[in-house]
Amino acid sequence: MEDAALMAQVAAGQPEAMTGLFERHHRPLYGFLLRMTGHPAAAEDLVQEAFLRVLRHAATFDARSPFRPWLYRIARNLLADHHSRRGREPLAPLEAAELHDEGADPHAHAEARQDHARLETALARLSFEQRELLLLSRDPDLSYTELAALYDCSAGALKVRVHRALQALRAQFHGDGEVSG
Amino acid sequence: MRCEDVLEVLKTQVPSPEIEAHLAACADCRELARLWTGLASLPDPPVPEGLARRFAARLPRRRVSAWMGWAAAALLLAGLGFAAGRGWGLSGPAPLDFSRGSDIQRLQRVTFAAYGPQDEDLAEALLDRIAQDSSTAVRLAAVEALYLAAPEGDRDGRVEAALRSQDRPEVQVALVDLLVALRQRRAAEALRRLLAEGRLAPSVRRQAERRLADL
Repeated sequence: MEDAALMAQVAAGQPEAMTGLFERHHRPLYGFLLRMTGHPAAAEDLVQEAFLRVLRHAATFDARSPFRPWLYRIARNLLADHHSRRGREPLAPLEAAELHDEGADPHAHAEARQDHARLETALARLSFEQRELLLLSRDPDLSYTELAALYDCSAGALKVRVHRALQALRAQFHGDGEVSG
Repeated sequence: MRCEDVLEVLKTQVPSPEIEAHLAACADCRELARLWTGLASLPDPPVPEGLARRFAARLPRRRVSAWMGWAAAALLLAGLGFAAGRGWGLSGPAPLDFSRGSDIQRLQRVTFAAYGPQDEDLAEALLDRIAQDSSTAVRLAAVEALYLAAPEGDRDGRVEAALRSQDRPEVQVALVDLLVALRQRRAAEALRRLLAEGRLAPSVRRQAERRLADL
């Protein structure tokens, strides 16, 4: 069943339809929030709260628009509240063990782990804003147009921001960037 | 093609001769493209076990329509009456008497009571079970039934009173959730009062703190 149909059921007073939306979207949302907060418990709380807000505000959802950008708009608001409460404490990168299951090729697996670990470290050293922008940009289900709407800017301005964030990531990846707050 | 446009095309993951030509000529973009590919291929971390179940437990129950309630109640009374060999309930327990019978029989009556007519007497009978029943399962079933039977918003504060006088932590945890569901944001004050008392079981304190943070 499509997201819009599930949302119509939720808005009609069938909260159990939320489980279908949750099943479809909670994994990437959890990954995004874990990389933004660095805390599994905080990420879980934010995931649950984001979907509960979807439930509470289902009547305001525009069925002509895609669900995912709407969900991420809610999640970004919650994340901003969380970030302002917790302050700018340093973020620990995700450990490789948190990301990988055992692979068939141990050598290739070790290389992938190493690359991913360097990228995770570089991401964790970015500013909150740049890290958020890059993590959202990598989501294949969020187009640049939808991201621009999320950031209340033009698509052109968004492209420039993503490009700059990626340059900052490159600097951190090579270890010559300043640690951002 | 401008360098800023390269990422947009890469994001679409559609092969493009124009992109290939740009990357062949622009070392800066080649490196950023490699970084972008790495970023895009980072695996999603596994979600904590039980997350979906914990979320489902926080969803409110749907209110049943009146006719469904009456139908379920009629079926229940018919089934219970015949099963006990008591005919049509002339000599059986009164519909709101949940205190008699075995644990299983009380559990059945309490569970199905929520689907029958809901009034003050039903809420009172369920609160009585929460306070007094010897079976924790019956107490928990009574909490579940109150999602449908309790007055909107716990206007008279009986759910809060039941929570404060309850002696079983697992029932207290369920009552914390019920209180929040009934009072919504107005539950915050009651949760703060509860937390201030300082003699809560750790599981109850955690749940109250968590739900307070949600509010």
